[in-house]
Amino acid sequence: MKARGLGIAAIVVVGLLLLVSSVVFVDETEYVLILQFGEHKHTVSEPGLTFKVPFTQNAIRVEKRILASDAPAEEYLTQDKKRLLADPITRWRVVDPLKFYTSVGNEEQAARRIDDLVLSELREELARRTMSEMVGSKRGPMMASVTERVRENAQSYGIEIVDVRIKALDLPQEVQRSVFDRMVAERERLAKGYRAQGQEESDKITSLTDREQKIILADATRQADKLRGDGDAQATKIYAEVYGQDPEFYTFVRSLEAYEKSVGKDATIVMSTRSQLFRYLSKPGKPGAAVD
Amino acid sequence: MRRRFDEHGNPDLRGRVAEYGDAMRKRLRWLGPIATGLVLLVVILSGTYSVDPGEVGVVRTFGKLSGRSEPGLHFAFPIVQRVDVVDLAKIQRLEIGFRTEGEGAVKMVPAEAQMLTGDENIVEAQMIVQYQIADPEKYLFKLADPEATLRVAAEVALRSVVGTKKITSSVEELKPPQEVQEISDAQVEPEVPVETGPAASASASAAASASAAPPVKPPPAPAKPKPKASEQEIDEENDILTKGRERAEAETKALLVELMDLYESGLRITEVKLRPVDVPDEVKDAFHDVVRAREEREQLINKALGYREDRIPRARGEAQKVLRSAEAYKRERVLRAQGEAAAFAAVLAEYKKAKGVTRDRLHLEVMERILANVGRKVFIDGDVADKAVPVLPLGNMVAPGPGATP
Repeated sequence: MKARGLGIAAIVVVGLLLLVSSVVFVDETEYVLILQFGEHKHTVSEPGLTFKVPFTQNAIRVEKRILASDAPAEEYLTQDKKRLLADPITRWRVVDPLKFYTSVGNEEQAARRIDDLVLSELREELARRTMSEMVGSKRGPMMASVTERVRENAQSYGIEIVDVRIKALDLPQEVQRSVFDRMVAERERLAKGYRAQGQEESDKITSLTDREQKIILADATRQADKLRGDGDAQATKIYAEVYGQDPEFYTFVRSLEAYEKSVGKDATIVMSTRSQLFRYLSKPGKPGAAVD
Repeated sequence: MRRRFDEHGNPDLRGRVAEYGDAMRKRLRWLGPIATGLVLLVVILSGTYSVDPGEVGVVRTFGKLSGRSEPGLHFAFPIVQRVDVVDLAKIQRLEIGFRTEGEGAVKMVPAEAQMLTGDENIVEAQMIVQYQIADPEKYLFKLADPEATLRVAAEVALRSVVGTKKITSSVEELKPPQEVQEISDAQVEPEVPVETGPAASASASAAASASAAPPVKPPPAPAKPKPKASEQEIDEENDILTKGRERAEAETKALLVELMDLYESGLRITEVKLRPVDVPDEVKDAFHDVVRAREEREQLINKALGYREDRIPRARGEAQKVLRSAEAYKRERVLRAQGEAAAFAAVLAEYKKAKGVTRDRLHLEVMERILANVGRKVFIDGDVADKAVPVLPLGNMVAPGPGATP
């Protein structure tokens, strides 16, 4: 009875071992390569349950998901001889697991190969570009062309390059200093510009104001002169009209007025008694004699 | 238990062992089902999982996706099934360029925040990315470490976008306040047509060809500022420090979404918030000085406008004064003329009725008044006068001359 129990136990254990060693779960995130003594038998790319010959065959799992490879930041020289610190990052995935397994083996190796490719392509690309192109709007297209070339080269590893991007693009520490100096100088220029502009604008407004002020006054004076002239003209017209009715009488009246005004208290009048005024002083005349 | 002994008085070991075996077997009869039950319990317990509201369980059987489980209590077979419960509702937050350190304290991470702009300046940009898991299968199966990927992609996107931006490096064209514009426009107006006499116009026409040219000058002026303004607008929209920030934010989001789709991350970017972009401490003072300079400019302009506000109304007042006084003069002049004319006309009318008498009367009246007023009078008889006048001592009239009495 004991032996029978042991036998059953042994069978169960062996059965389990056989089962474990022949059943392979293929996950959604991986490929499985079935190798027999190192020789490739087949590749499973569909997830699910699969089987292999126990003990003689083994299953190699290869990552199916998109992976990242972060090459170290390095200093590059641009076409215009400026130094740039670029930190690229590459996203890739395995598309041919067998090729991948035979050519690079594992992810770490693959990442190293990819980094080498990326760094050399990047160096080449950067050497052809100016700094401003690299920093600015050309970055997208440039990295697209780097991606394209790395992708071509990586095909032989069974790897598809999703993209190569620049994670960080900086200036070396010493260059940063000079950039800061330049920025400060630029701001100083701006500040001066604004102050000068303020002064200019202020002067402009002030002088325009002075000018306008003078013009307003001059214009008023002009109108005032015209008004005065008009007044004089109207008055003259009025006088002329009325005096014109009898110029001789006007002269007479006006002369009398003038005499009265011009002969003051201190004046000495020497008069002949033959004058009109005193003709009656000597003898009375006849009526109507005064009429001219 | 009773102690039992065999025939030699020794303890009955064999019998006891057999007895013990029997007892064990009896017990094991119970033990079997109990063990099975325990194993089952462990299996059930370890296979049971719950999915909370807003979450979804992604079930893999033998490694293959076999379904989703909705919120509630579920069971999965251990070993052969694997379940990942993914929170679809939770909005997660990623900080780029800074880290929040409790109580709203924010600490900048310069290495992450400092980046180059398109015009080779260095700015500090900080960003918040909010995201949630939109496609759990993609999230789990397509991309290794989606969160880390998102962080890097966000940095890539932000730096790419900032790389296309600028910071203003030219003095912003002044947008003059309305009043200043009006002043500038007004300067054409005062060319008042002055009535020139015929002589003046004759001489002016001689120089007409020379003097006529300058007034035609103004037209080209308004055409010039147009392109300048639009160029400046583009500049302003690209200025990452000010107006360009919102656009940079949108562009960063678009690029980040594009990248995360390319990587099949299964993440949805709900919001990208670019915090105010600043410049590094090393240059901050200089930037602040520019702001001050701009304020000073405004101040100067306002002061000048104030001067204007003060001067122009005063000038107008002065002008009014001059005008009113001239009007008064005119009015006075005319009124007086009218009055005098009326007086003269009246006298004239009377005079016409009796010319001789009136004339004599007027003459006599005036003479009377004159003589009454004059202090010293010398009367010379008509016959004497002919001879005497030339030799009269006019210089010293104090001594009475001959016939000094009337």
